[in-house]
Amino acid sequence: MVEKGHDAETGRQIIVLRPNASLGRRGMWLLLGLMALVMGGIGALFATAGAWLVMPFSGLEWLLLAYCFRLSLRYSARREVITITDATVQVQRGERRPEETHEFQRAWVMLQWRKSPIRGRPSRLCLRLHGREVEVGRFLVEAEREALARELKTLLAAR
Amino acid sequence: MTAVTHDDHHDHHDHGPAKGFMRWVTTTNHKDIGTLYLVTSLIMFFVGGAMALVIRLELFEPGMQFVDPAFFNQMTTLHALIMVFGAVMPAFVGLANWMIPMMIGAPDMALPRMNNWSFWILPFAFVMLASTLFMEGGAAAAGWTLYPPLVLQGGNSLPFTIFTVHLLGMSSIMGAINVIVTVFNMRAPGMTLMKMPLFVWTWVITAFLLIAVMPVFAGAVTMLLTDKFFGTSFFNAAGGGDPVLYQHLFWFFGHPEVYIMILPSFGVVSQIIPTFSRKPLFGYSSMVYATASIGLLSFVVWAHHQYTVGMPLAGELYFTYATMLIAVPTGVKVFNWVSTMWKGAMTFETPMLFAIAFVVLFTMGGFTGLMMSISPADLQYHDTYFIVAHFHYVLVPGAVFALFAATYYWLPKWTGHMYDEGLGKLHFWLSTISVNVLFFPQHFVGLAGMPRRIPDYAVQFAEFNAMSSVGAFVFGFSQLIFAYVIYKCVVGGEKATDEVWEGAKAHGLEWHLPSPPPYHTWTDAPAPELIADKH
Repeated sequence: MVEKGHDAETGRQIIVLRPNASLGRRGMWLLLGLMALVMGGIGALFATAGAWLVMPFSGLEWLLLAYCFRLSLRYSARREVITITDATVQVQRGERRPEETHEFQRAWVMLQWRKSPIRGRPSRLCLRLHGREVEVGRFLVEAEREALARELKTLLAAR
Repeated sequence: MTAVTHDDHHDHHDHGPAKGFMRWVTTTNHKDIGTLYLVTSLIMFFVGGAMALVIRLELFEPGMQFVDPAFFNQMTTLHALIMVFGAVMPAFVGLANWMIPMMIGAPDMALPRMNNWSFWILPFAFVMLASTLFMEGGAAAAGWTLYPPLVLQGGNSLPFTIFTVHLLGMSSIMGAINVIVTVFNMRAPGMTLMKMPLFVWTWVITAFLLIAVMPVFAGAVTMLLTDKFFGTSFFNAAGGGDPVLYQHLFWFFGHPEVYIMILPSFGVVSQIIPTFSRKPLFGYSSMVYATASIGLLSFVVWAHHQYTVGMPLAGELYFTYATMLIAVPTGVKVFNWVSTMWKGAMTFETPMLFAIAFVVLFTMGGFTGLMMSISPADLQYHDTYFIVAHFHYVLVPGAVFALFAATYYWLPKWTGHMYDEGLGKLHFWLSTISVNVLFFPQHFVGLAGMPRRIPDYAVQFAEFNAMSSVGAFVFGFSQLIFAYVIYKCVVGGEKATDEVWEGAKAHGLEWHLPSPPPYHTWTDAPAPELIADKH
């Protein structure tokens, strides 16, 4: 998803990029809670019948399920915020808060959109300066990356 | 400029397939892993099938001819374990890997690296299982149920068999978790749960069944291990344990396991019948609810496998009625498939033929199941060939035919080539006729009292057994046609269009991708208008 914003006071242009996700944190906990009930219930049923060894396997499996959901949700919680001011272009990345920041001088930064020569292979969109580059929108689908490339081109050219 | 670094953290999707053998070892691509699963399961189908032929060869006529009874029992045990855990389940996981991302508009499975692990556990597990045949005392010879105390009296193979079962369980659990996370978090924008294709729905319910029951099985076989080697008495009556507890544990897993193998078959058939009837699926939402109901009911009927060990009358009544209740949602599904075909512009290509055979023959298997649900009648059927006939009707023309149908249906999409329709139809007719010659007479010998799991039998069962064995060999060798059709289609043939089947685009997102699909699926999200009501 690509969301655009404009700060009228400072003149800053802001673009927020996030991957597609069809499950929220609440949904995840609801699912995990339900599974804990079901698996805990089954484990407890057999534990009372004397087969207590089912319980640890149920617990381990629930933990694996929770870990996998967390991994997937962490992936979809990633954000990239591109802030364009008169002088700079800033790319911030992180999950809940910015974890890395890359800053370029707006006058010199180059936008490179490299389409793959092979059909069906994703393109790459990079901001580049002095041989160093940062890829943006890696998690976007092709149409969104294409729209982002056009948007960035317009914004970077505008003075 | 501050803190600018070269960004060299590339996700797996930045790469194309690696070259050579290592492509398959290291792959995290859902289609590659799907292919690995499907090829492995086909190999296992032939291995398990060869074991079935050893069984049928020995049973061709009364008396002992080819194998000794101990080896015969090892064959029945390994045939079952390999067919269930090696052929049918991995084949459906393979289908899930190939099709679910394509059907929900996702670029890949949610956890690609775990996907790779969950596949690569399998070959090692099977090698370990097969190696038990060469151990002192031979492989496990206690049936796929591994009941104590019999299984505890075996040779050195027990810990290896149990370790294999643990590995196969781990693989299944990882596959199931991957399906759940993918479906819940990776659906394309606009793909709500009630817009998902039936195949995806059936797999989600299957995945929940798997993760709910696998710990029970893992616990049960671990307790067998501790009883054998660590002096515990979970199932040892002499030490205060209860062998029937193992039966409860096993069938609490084992009964839903049957639905784990059948629900995705329902999904496959629900994709194929609308395409070849050129109509939308009749009663989509009722199909979803029926599948969920079958899933739920499968948890509460396990003791119908245990009527003969003795249970209170109230228990017998409960399990009888609860088991019969499953016929209701199953009937809804059969009714909806038939209603989908009703007044449809039907054509009978190979996938449709297998789908129709599935509906008819699975229903027959279902009806004999209904007979066995009645506890007083079950005392007559228990541990006879009637049971063998029943569950083979459910699992061979049921699950295996659905897998054939799925392969013929999606093979042109996977390979980009049309398969040989003539050979496909030959495979269908030979399989369908021979599978009935193979399993139908088993109803009669079972009702007449022939017990299962015996290498020799009374002469009055000779004719039907000979017939059954002829059917088995024809069915077994017919599958070589299937393998050849796949090989021929992979190496070449008429180019398949994107849609492959006339009007298929109306029934699934996968038909909007090129044939074969690009290595990276859905690098562009499917348009919202494509997603609406693809049933």
